[in-house]
Order: sequence, then structure tokens, then C-alpha cells
Amino acid sequence: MTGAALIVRETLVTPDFLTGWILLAIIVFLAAYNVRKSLPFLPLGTSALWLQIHIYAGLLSFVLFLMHVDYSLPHGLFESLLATIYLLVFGSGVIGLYITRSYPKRLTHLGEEVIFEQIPVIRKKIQTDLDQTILESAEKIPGSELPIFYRDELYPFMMQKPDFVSHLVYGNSRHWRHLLRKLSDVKRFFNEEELNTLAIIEAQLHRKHQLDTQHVLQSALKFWLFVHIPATYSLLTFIVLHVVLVQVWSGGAL
Amino acid sequence: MSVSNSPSGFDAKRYQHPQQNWVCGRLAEGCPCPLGPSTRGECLSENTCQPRRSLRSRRNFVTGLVFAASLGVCLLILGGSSENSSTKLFETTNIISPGPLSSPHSAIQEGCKACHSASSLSPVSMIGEIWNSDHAQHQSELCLNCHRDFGDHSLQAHSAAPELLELLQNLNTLEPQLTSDQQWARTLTDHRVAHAKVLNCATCHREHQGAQFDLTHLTNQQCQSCHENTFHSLSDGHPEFETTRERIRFDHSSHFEQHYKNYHFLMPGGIPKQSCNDCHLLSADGATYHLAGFEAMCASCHESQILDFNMPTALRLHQFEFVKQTPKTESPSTEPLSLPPFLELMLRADEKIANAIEALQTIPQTDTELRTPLLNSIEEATSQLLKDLQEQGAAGVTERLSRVTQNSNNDKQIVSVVKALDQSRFFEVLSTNDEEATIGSWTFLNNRATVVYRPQQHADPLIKAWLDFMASEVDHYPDQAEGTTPSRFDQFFRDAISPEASGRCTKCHTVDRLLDGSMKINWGLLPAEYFYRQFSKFVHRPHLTLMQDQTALSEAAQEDVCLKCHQPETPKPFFNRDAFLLTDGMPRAEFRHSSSTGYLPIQKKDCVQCHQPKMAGDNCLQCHDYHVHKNSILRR
Amino acid sequence: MSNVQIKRPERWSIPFSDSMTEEDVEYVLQMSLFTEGMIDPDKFSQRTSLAGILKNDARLLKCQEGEIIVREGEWGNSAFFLLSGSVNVVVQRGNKSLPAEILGRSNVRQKSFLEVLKQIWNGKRQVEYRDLDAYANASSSSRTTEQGTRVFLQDFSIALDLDKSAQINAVDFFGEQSALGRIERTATVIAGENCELLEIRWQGIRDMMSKAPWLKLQIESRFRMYGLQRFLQASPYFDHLRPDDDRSPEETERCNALFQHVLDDAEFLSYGSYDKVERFTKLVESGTASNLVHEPLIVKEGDYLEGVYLIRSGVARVSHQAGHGHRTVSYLTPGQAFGIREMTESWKTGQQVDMQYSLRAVGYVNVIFIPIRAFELAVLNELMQRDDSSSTLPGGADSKPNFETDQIDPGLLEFLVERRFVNGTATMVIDLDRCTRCDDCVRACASTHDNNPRFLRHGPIYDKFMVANACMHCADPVCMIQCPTGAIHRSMQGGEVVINDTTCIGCSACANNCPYDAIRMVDIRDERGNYVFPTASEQEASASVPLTPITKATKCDLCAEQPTGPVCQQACPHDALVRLNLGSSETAAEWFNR
Repeated sequence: MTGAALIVRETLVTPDFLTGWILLAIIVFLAAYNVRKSLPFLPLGTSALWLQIHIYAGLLSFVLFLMHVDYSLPHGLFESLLATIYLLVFGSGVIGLYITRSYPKRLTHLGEEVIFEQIPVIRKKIQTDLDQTILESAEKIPGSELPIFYRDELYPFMMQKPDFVSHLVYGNSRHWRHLLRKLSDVKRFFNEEELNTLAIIEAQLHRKHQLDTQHVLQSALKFWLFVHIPATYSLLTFIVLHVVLVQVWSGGAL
Repeated sequence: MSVSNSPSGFDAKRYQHPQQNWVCGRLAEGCPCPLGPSTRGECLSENTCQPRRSLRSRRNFVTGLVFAASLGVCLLILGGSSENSSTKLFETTNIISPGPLSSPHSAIQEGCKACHSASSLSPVSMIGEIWNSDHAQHQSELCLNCHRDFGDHSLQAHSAAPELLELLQNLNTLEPQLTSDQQWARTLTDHRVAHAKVLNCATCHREHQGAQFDLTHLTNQQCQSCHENTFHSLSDGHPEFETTRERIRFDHSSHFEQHYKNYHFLMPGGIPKQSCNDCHLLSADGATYHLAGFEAMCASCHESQILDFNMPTALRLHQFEFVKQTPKTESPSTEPLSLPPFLELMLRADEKIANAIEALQTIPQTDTELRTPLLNSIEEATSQLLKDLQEQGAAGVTERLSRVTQNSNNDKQIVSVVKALDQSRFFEVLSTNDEEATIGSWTFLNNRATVVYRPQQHADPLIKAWLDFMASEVDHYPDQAEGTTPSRFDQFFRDAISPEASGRCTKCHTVDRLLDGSMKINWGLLPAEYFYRQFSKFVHRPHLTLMQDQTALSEAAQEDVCLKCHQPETPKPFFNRDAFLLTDGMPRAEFRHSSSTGYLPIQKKDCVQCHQPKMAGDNCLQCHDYHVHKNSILRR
Repeated sequence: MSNVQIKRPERWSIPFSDSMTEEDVEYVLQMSLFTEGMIDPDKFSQRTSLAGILKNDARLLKCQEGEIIVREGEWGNSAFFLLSGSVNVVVQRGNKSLPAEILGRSNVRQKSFLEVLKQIWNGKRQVEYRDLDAYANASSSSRTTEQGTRVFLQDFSIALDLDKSAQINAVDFFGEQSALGRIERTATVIAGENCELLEIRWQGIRDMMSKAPWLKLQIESRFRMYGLQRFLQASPYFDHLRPDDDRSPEETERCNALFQHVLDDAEFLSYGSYDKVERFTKLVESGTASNLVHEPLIVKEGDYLEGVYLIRSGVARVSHQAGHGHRTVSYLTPGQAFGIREMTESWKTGQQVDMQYSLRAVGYVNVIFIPIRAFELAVLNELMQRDDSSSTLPGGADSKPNFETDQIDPGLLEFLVERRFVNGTATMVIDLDRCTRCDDCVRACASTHDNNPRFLRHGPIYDKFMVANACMHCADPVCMIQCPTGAIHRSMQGGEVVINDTTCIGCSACANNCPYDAIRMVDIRDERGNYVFPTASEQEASASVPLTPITKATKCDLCAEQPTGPVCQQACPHDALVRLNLGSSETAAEWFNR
């Protein structure tokens, strides 16, 4: 960086070319991580090492980016688009860094460990178990309000998709809190046997809630890459155009 | 207990395949079939489902889509950026523009192609241009379409000829003083004038930085990034200002100390000057001072000196009586031949006479036998010459002078000499029969045996033309040490420029030797060939304003203003002044810090008092121009 | 917690082979082995009669010439009595032995660079696709018998051509070392001519040993001659007694004498039982696995010091009394020793030292016991200064005098030991606090195995550590017992347990045996994704059996063919996954406590 500042002060060379090329090299290297991940059998170094370098290089790229744009917003339309896409990639990377460091810890102690693709299977199982419990209770406890309660509150809860915003932003679930209130409300209408059954049902509902949380957190862990990776390829394309334009339209500026 | 086993519902007997592109369509319902779709997305079960894409596959799809869209946008932009219409869907020049233009350029109606050579290329050629090393130069040449006043070497350093720069480099005696920063910068970027074939405009001028951006601003370090020898700042390391030898000899100290006080003894009609402003007049733009002119400044005392009385002159015809068939007095043949230069030149047009003249130089005076026929022939030739000139007039003179100066290409000078002769009524003189004592400036003497030209006023055209003619014919400056024989023109020239010669021109007008070896008499003040001045500029008025502010506004004080920077030298005796020696036109090292006009050169320390970074500023461009070339001088 | 009830397992609830009939037993009992006093039926008790042993712990094998009986490097749990005929033992070991293909194994070699690069296109492969043509080329030199499939050499003369091939004639026995010692078969044995063999599982041998002194003597002397000597020589505690050219002849003789002394005094003890796996998995599920009554006690805390115990095979638990229970302090794997610290302390101070910890057998453990005197003479006197308190035994990684240095969290230790994860040399442990559930590990595994992942990112969890369902490449691989074709074997190059897909017949013996469910049977497919079924003739043969597609056993092979080693570990971006060798608890502790 001192070198670049030196060059700015002492010479006619604009450091934008230098920072630009270095930035390009770093971005290509950062994008190469995706390629390396699809070649795990080649002895290119462990993925963990690449990630460490990826993170540091990404942070460095931000510094270089600031130098490259001279710490101000670009004026031209295309350059603004390019800067926006870069910031999108960088920002999603920072968010991804936060997510991948903090969410696993939340996932570990969240009931059972589930594989993301199996969530519908487990949800169905919980649903089946709950249905069975309700049916049994309907048989064993005549005149019970449980099935009605199930129809009014529990079934909608089971069918609901997890509320992502509530989980991610507030760390808890609106649906679950609502359900807990309903559960505590309804307890005054049940006898002992029903309450025992309700205890079993609560455990099953809790599993569903935990599954929802798993679903939300694991979704976040997977979907942030839906922004980061496509934006990277978009960035690379625009960078190529940027290089072409600068090289041909700058008229020999150093 | 923090131990947990696999949850119910999860089939731990089967592998999970997250790398697959397709998943069973029944997975969303929670009961995927164990077969799984094939790699092409077909359901393999009899109870068919609609396989869905896996998450990874969907991400790849989104990536591909975004990439394709970006590529499309890029191609659209690229296609729309050039003027080539076959690939353009819509205009995208306003998209790729990196920012607004500075206000002078914003008015250009032509669009991008006025300045960017790439704009007129097709997109494919545009990409090919990256590898074309000349493309930057094409763009610079577009700048020059409008900015035409940078001369023939516009894209060279300083817009000056490379030979010039090389010459300056050789003259340079600065000790290099690279700062450590500059040394580092040079290791990181290699940038020498000598290596640059073409310096593109964009090297220094960066556009698209907004309407108010100053395109011509550069920092001191940026200026110095090309120079071999550099220094820290104006106050630290910048060389002392050099003086130049003035074109007109004028000794301020002798005039002010002696002549203006004693003028009524020597020059009764003279008008002495009281202050600087009597002669030095500020130009309309306040930048420079020009002199009031001979008439206003010097004529009152010096005009009379120009009107000489029998001062040695070249323009003399001493056997004029031949024309008139006036009997001549016998000139003893033992006398040395003394032909006036003008006459001699014209006689030399005839080769025989030229040889005779040459021979006469070598034959001893005593040998009259040999001398007499030669002298006679010369006399006859003279007579014939005058008759011929009478008949042929200007053409005759032209023809003869041309013949004599065959080797040099001096038609222009000959023409002006002949023209001046004509205007001075010389040909009338030749053919007159009247008995006037003078015709024009020609005066008859010796009973009309001699006719002499006498300048009547300052800037006499004939004397001037003659001097210029002689100056241009001088081959080389005679170097006495080597013992080379000077040519005849040398002799003529030296005679003509002696301080006592007719007109006394060189009493005040100095003579320089030019780069090509020819001589130049400095009639004017501004040295057209003196290139040093092209790199620097100075505007007086703001400085006067500042100084006048600081002093009381009295007459005496006004004069003080000039003297704050222009300090008089210790006076030296008049004729011992070095600067009066004939110079070669170059700033001699020994003259660098002494003036011919009696004033010390401007001291850098006087400028540095105010020109510091936080005060008046010490940016190079405040005093120096980058673009220098012949025409730039007209800006003043 | 309610009591769990299971049927008390009987000694012979599960016979070794169903094919052993009463007639077979009678027939065998006529053999000279049992009639000429070597093994006397009358010496056996009512409860465990010889006939009973033969009926339930043995089976009769009739082998044809060229049939492979055992393979070098296999894990076995049975010994063989040669009743008639002769067998050839391939004496040459390792690389000079029979080519691996003959034994049904594959020569595991690393892929060349081009082959590695070709894996880029694996993603297009159908899951569990197999090149059926390649199977057709494989030599099918097997025959199906009542006892299952037996494989025989195509070209028997190869075995005979080798330089060193010893013959065993009837009546003799072999294979008992592997069976009793829980170690690999030391040589390949091929039937030289048509012969009859009595295969007895180790429980039967053990009982027979206790009742037939001749057998015990034979087995023990063989053990001492070969097994014990080899084991002790490999132990770092007796490094200094190994033959060394630099020594003087007197010194060498003295060392030899000391070593012999140790050899003579050492005892070979075995504890625990190793049977079907359901036993301990059930214990784990019911939560009583930590009840150490299931584990036989080798040494009790507080006992007098009697000697040093060197673990020969199996895993032993070191525990300390804590409250009314026992706290696991460490575990010992083969090669490690117990009682060293007490021994040295006692030797230095000259006072009696009691055992500080208890030692229990986790599963089945073989122990070599060396009494105090022998150890003091041969080791302590030689290597240590009595009055120098700082001198310690030059123990290598295998010596563990100080158990308290193990830093593994006690709960985690219990978890690992009771589920027998400590058996693993490449246990896959995932740190769930770092794992982002990205499945990069699974994807990487799939890309190196023709688009088929070979493990499941799922398994028991303790605190934040998950032991995923991947082959642990156990130090004591029970999966390798009973493979009829030798398809599952330990690779000579790296020691990984791999399955040769071509020779696997899908009998699922290995999958059933594996206590960790690491081996999965998969239905193979063709390139369109269809199941592959047996040909018509085989279908007719098993007409009563419903039609099932051909299955193969699959499991993690530790990427033996890949130049990078296990790619799952390489591919994890967060350093969350590791293949841990739990044989060394220090290395394991380092990782767990990072």
C-alpha cells in the first residue's frame, strides 16, 4: 500500500492499474476456490487451508478495492454496476463468514442431528407419530377435546412452513411462541389422562419446532451461497469487460 | 444425557447422495423411493414421480443463468459502445463513461469518437486493440485534431524536438538529488524521457473527473518523475535562476549614475529617465514589461550617434566619378587596394576580377609592375560595373550578389538588400546627372568622387539588410588560435559589426552565433531562437499588486518595487564588461550569474520568500510550461 | 430407568454351523485325534462334552485340491484340524507370497495422474453403477457348498512352484494362533489334495485346551515358539535385548539369556468373549454399557503388584474407583502396557506398591503377563538407575506409565470406550460446532468413488463430537471374519480394510458382523439405473428364494487409491472432520481438546 501511495505521489503512474491487476489476480484466485472444491482428489492443498486463504484474500481484496476506487463512489454507470456486484460478493461473503461460524454451534444442541434433505422425511414421521397419538387418545379418552384442539391449532402448526424471518432475525419462532401460549391456555380444560397425552404431544411438537429451527439454520447455511457464487461469476464477466474497456479507452494513461 | 442416536424416521441403512442432480419427487411428501431418479432425471420406479432438481443442481442452474445474463449484458454494452452500427442494439456510451467530462470538453458535440479512437472500432477490433501497441497513440492524435498548436513534436516530451532535449540534457550541470521516495518510485516504475517514444496525452491529462476538474494540474513530483536529475522543492534543490545575456546592450548603472546626471554635457538634447517605468512599460495583460521603443527611450541621446559623419561603412562607392566620366585623380599604384565591401563584392562576381583582387593581396606593395595592370583592370571593372548597374538596376545587383554567394542559399537576404537599395534610391544615385549633394541617404563626397550611404535614423533598412546579409554569409567564427584564414565574408562582417561602423548598430545590438554556425544580429529583444525562455514564464502584475500593497504608494516607492527583485549589480567599468564580448549565443557558464544590463539576475531566495507550499505555492507549473514549441511564444 | 430384560445367552445358543449333524460328530469322534489319547473325550464334563463341542463349535469341511482354506492377513476366529489328506502352507510372506488376485484380493495401487483427472467426470455416473463386463472377465473359481461358497485356486501349480511351501499332513492342526490370539492369519493355507478338515471356533478350542493337556501343551509351546517371541521382540520394552552386531559375544549371550528368562516366565492370558455384535450394541442402547460388570476384570485396583501386563490384542479399559462406580481414565490398545509405573516405583523404593487402577477387558483381550522378577531383571535393572529419581523408562508411543496425562474429557472417554470406537485406526469424527452441514465431505467421497459416497454423515453424538458412520478400519476388524472369498481384506500397502468389488458375492457376512454398521450392502445398477439380477440358471437353483438383485458390500476404503489420502478430511472447509487413530489416546486428546 505504501508502494501504491508512493507511486501516486511521485510518478505519473496511476496506481489504479496496479491495484486493478492485483485485484483481478486476487479475485480470480478467490473464484478458483469453487473450482478446487470440485476437484477434491487432486493434491492441491486441503479445503480448510484454501478457505483460510480465501477469507484473508477476500478481506485484502476489499482494501484493494477501496484503493482502486479511490475511496469514493464511482461516477460512471457501468463502473457503479461493477462496484455494486463486487460489494454484493464481498458482503455476502462476510455474511457467510458470520453464518458459518455461528450457526453450527446453534445447530449442535438443537435436538437431533438431521441431514437437510431428510427433513421432509422426518417431518412426515413426526406428523405420523402425532396423528397416531391423537387417534389413540381419541379412542382411549372419549369426549376428549384433544382432537378438536389438534384440528384447530396443532395441525396448522405442523403444516406451517418455518418462519424464516423470525428465526433468523429474532432467534425464536413466532409460530412456536404462539403455540406455547395456546398449549398453556388449553391445559385448564384437560383431565389428568389428557394431560399425560398432552405431555407426549408437546414432546413431539417440540421436535417439530426443533426441526424447523434446523431447517431454517441449515437453509441459511446453504442459501447464502446462492448469492455469493452466481454473483462471483457475474463479477468475473464484468471484470473482463472492464479490463477491455480500460485497456482500449484509456489512451495510454500509465 | 448428551448422547443422541439417529432419530426415528431416518433410514440409516442407506447412503445419502447430496451430489446427485435429481432427487425423487416424493421427497417433499416425506416418502422418497429408494431407487432414486437416474442421472438424467427420469423416474426409475413404476409408481412414477416427477423428479426435482437437487439444491446443488438448482444452484448451478442459477449460477449459469446469472453468468449468461451477465455475459449478455456485457456483450450489449460492448456492442453499443462503438460507432459501428452493425452490432449496436442501443447506445451504451453513457453507460461505459466513467464520469462527467470537464466543462471545456463537455461542449463537444461529436460524442466519444472525438477523443477515443476505440469508439470508431467494431467491438471485435476493440478487443484486438488491446494487443496493438499503437492504439494509445491513435487516441492522442485525436486530441491533436483540436489542440493543433503544439508543433511538430506534440507527442514528444515537452512537445519539443528530441535533439533539443538531448542538448539541454548535455548542458545540464545539476547534481542529481533524488529523494529516497523518488528513488523508490523509480525502482517501481521505469520512466525515462529517453526511452519514451511517444508520450500520450493521457499520461498527464486525466479526463472524466467531473466538470470542475483541472486537467492541467500536476504535482511537482509528477513533473520530476521523468527528469534524470531531480530535487526536493523550489526552496530545496531547485537550481538558481540563470540570467541571459541581453540582446541590447544597455548598462543601467552607468546611465543612472553618470549619463542621466551629466547628459547636458554630452547630449544636450537628451531626455534623461527618472524611473524604471519611463522605459519599461507593463503589457496590457500585466504579464511582461516591454520597452518603450528606441524613439521614446534612446533617440533623444543616441539618434545623433547613428547619424554619422564619415564613419567607416561598407556602402560606399569611392570611384563614382567613373560613371560620370569625371576625370579621376591618379591613384598611385603603390597604395594598397582598398575597396569598399559592397563594391568589392560586386566586382568579385567577375571571376577574373576576383582573382585580381586576390592576387593583389599577396603581391607586395613595392612591386608596381605586377600591381598596376591588376589595379587597372580593377578600375576598369569598377567603371564597367557602375555602367552595368545603371543599366540593369536591381537585377544586376541581384545577379552579381547571387553569383558571389553561390554556395549559400541566401536569396532572401539578397532580395532584402536589393530592396533596401532600391528604396534608398541607390539606382537613382547611379543614374543621376544632377548636382544634388544628397539623394535620399546617399551623400556625394570628394567632388562627387565618392558616394556614401549614411543612415539617417535608427533602424535604417539598408544598413540592417547589409548587416544581416553579411551575418548570414559568415561560415564560421574565426578561431584565431587555430590560425585558420578567415574568409572574406568574415572580414566584411567584422568590419560591419565594429562599434565604429556606420550606423553604430552593434554599439547596442549584440551578435550571437546560432546552432548552425551562422551569426545573428539581435535587432529585437525577444530571442526567437533562445529556447530557454520557452520553458519558463512570469507574470508581473500579481507580484506588483502584492508588493505595492506592502509599500507606500509614492513615486519613489514605485521604483522601489522593481528594485525589490531586480537588484543592481556593483557597477563595473563600461568597456571591461565581459558581456560585450562577442558570444556564441549560448549562456556561457561564466556569464550565468552576471548581467549585461547592470542588474543582478533574479535571486531564487526572493521568490522562495513567498512561493512556498502553504503560501503562494511552489508548483512547477506556476512558473514552467510543459508544452514548449516555436509557437508557444506567441501566447505572451 | 426401568430394567431391561433379555434372554440369558447360552453357551451354544448359536452353533457354529448348522450343517454339523450327529452323524458327522460320530464320524469325527472316530478320528485318531480323539481315539488315541491326544484328546480324551472322557476328560470333558457333562455340560461341555466333547460331542457337544464338536456339534456346536465345529464343522466338517471337505476340501478339494487347490481350495483356499485360509488367507494370509485374514482375520479368523477358528482353528483347523486336518483329519485326512494334506494341506500346503505358503511360507513366503508379504509381497513374495501368492499374488493378491488369486486370493480374491485386489492389488490396491494408487491411481495415476490421468486416472485421477478422469474422476472429474464421475458426476455423470449412475449411482452404484458397475461395469458388468468387468465382472464377466473375473475368474469364477468358486463352488457353492452347504457351508457356503468356497474358492479354489485356478492354477494350483502356482502354489507348488514357490520356493517355500510347507506341507502339513494329517493329523495336525493349524490356525489356532489367529483364533485364540485375535490376530491375522500368518500364512495362506491351500488344500494340497482332497482333504477333510474339522474347523473349530475359538471357544471350542479354548474348552478343549482346558480339558486336553496335550492340546494345551501343543498350543502353548507353539505360541511360545512363534507368537510370544515375535510379540516381545516387537515390544519397545525389550528393544535393548534385541540382537545387535555391536555387542560383544558375552554381552549378546547375556541378553539372550535374559530374554529367554522372560520368555519362559511370561504367561498368555485371555479375557472376555467375542461373539456376535448385538450384545454390546444392545448394551449401549439400553444404557447399561457403562456398567462395568460386563467387562471381565484383569487387574483390580488395590491388588498387589504382581507383574506387568502387555496388551497383545483387543482393547482394555483403565479405570479408577470414583464414588460407588468407576471412572474410566484411559484405554489401552495392543502393544501398550499396564503396571509400569507401579513397577518402577516399587523397584526404586524397594517397597510394596499396590495397583493404582483397574484393568478390564473391553470385548475380548489377550494379555501377556510378565512377572515382577523377570521384568526387573530384564528391563529395569538394565535400563534405569535405582537412585536416580529422574530416570524413566525409554518408552515410545506405546508406553503409558502415567494415565493422568490423558486429557480426553471423561464423559467423552466413556462414550468412546463403551461403544468400542477406540478400536478404530481411522475413526471419522466430526466437530459439530464447526461443521456447516455443507456435505462437501460426502460429495468428495462420491467424486472419488464413481459418484457413490461411502459413508453417512450421521452417527452417535457426544457433546459436539459425532462419530460418523464410516469404516473405522479397526485394529481388530471383525468384518473380515467369515468372508468366503477373501474379498474383504487388509491392503498390504497402507493397512486399510478394503473390499474387492469383483470378488464380493454379496453374502453380507461382513455387513452383519460390523458392529458400527459401516458396511452397507448396495444393489448394483447398470448405466440406465436398472437393477442387475442373477442369470437364469441361478434363479432356477434358488427357485424358492424370492428374486433379489445382485448386491455388493461397500464401505469406506480410506481412499487407498487416491494420492491425496482420505478426501473427506481434505475437503472439509472448516477443519471439522478428521480420521482419528483412536489407538493412541494422546493424539486423540490433542484433537478433541483443540
